[in-house]
Amino acid sequence: MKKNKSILNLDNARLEKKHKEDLGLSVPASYFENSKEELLKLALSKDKQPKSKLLTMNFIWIAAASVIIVLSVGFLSKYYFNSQMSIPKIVSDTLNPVKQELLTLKSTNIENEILVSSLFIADEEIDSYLDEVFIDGAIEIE
Amino acid sequence: MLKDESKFVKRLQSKKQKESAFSELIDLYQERLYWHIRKIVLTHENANDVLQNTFIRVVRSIEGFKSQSSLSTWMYRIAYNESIRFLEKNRRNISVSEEQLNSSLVSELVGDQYFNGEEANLLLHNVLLKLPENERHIFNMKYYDDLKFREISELINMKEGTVKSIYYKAVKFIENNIVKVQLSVKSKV
Repeated sequence: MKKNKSILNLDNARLEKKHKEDLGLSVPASYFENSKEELLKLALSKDKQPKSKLLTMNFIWIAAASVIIVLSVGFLSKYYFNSQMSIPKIVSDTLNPVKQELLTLKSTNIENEILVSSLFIADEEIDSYLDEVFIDGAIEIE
Repeated sequence: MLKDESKFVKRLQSKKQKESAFSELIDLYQERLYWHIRKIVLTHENANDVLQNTFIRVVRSIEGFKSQSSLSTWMYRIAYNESIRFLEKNRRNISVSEEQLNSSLVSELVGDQYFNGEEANLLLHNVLLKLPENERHIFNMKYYDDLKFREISELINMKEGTVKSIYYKAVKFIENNIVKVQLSVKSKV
């Protein structure tokens, strides 16, 4: 381990020189020595914090509500079409266009409601939810 | 890179030894990851933030690390993802195009107190930013981070031959563009 470390340190000196000479990038004096403690403290303290379940719960509720709405629309439309079967043909000819229009209007309203409710979720919330679930998941799968 | 990586990973995953193992991990990778990140986000302050996020993610995800790739490859991947996420977040906050973001990165860099470059260094930064993202990334990893083609191909899931051809294409682009800009500067003088 010690041998590896010294090789890495040599590489590090070369890395720093290369970045300074070619790209003009530098770091504050003793930056790496000082930031080590900070990194250690910060990373280990974050490790002890439980992951936010609240955010996940919010998202789950919204997703569940959307699924229920979509299923209800499916069920209702089926019901409407079934009840239409029992209406005499001559009546249904005149009713059909009206019902179709109402149904379209209703589903458009529902679609709008879903869109509007999605506006109430902040981008950051969605970002951090995706971070927690997908990126952490991807790293875990690795 | 590590002689007995699996033992080291076990220490990182164990509750009792986590702290000491993590301290060693920082010693080993802090500088390499810092420079890797710095070339993407350019200013020291941003690089410092992204480095912290990287180690936080490493410590939170180490339990799920299954050694399917080397520890260094895994950490480089996290550092790269964190850097790109940082830039994306900035771009969304001020809603600018990639080109505008690149030019704002360069102006931020000029204002950075830890940029001591001259005109030639700035020229190189501008040319590098003109490269497509994957070409720039591959060039940086090979030329500045000293990674092997095999390591790069593992890191970005690309065939080694493809990585090599992209690298040489990027080198050619940089050479041509630097010559072009220098010629136009000379003709103005």
